[in-house]
Amino acid sequence: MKNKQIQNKKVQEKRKVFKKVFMKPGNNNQEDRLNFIKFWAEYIKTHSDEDWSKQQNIVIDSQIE
Amino acid sequence: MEYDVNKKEIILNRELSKLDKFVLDFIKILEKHIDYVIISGYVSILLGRTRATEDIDVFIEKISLEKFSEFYEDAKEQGFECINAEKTEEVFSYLKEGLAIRFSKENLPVPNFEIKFPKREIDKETFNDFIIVILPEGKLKISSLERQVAFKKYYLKSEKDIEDASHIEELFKDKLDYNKINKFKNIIKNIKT
Repeated sequence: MKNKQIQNKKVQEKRKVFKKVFMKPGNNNQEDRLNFIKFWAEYIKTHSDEDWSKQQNIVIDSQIE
Repeated sequence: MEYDVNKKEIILNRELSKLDKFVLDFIKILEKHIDYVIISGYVSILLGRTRATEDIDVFIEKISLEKFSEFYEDAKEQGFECINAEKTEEVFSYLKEGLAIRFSKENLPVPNFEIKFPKREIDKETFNDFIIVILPEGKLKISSLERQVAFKKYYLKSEKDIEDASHIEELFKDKLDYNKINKFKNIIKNIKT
């Protein structure tokens, strides 16, 4: 619980420092996928674990009954 | 997500996916009997990569048939089965031959755990080169991030693997030891496929 509070505080501080990042479209599918990976990694770094994992779980859980 | 390089520990307060719960359920049984390290794709997924997988790759320490039987009985009692064979001796013989065996929930082959003994020296070293991920409902042992990046980028090399490596590099670029990655790269060059 304490760890979670500390992390949320750090994330909020990061958000104040970082500007909103936009994803650069790739010139082909492979480049576009790699650009998304960079964009998503930045999203993870600037949002709480709870925030990004909720979105990620939609992808993962869609495979499991 | 907080990665403490010195402690070799990641604190991850993520909402658990069904896949994470499946992994934690199985690992809780496995670790009672056998030392393990999770490797490959699930490591990237656990750390946020947005893709699904059908299997979770795990190295287990070399063990005797007796020790394996204890684990296998426990796993069966908790609703898991081996999808390669039923008899303990047969399942264990696959492991001894250097083959991977798969465990899933009974009558639900996907997702499953792909378990094997490490064969090469570089793989055996995984047991001394791991990170503990602390989740809200348990802990998992994963291979070091440098090992993960090197194997995905320089050994496996499929599009999916390159993307898995990129995810980890982007996420931890200020904390990765690139000398270590290059050391792995050089060892990997000499691995016969």
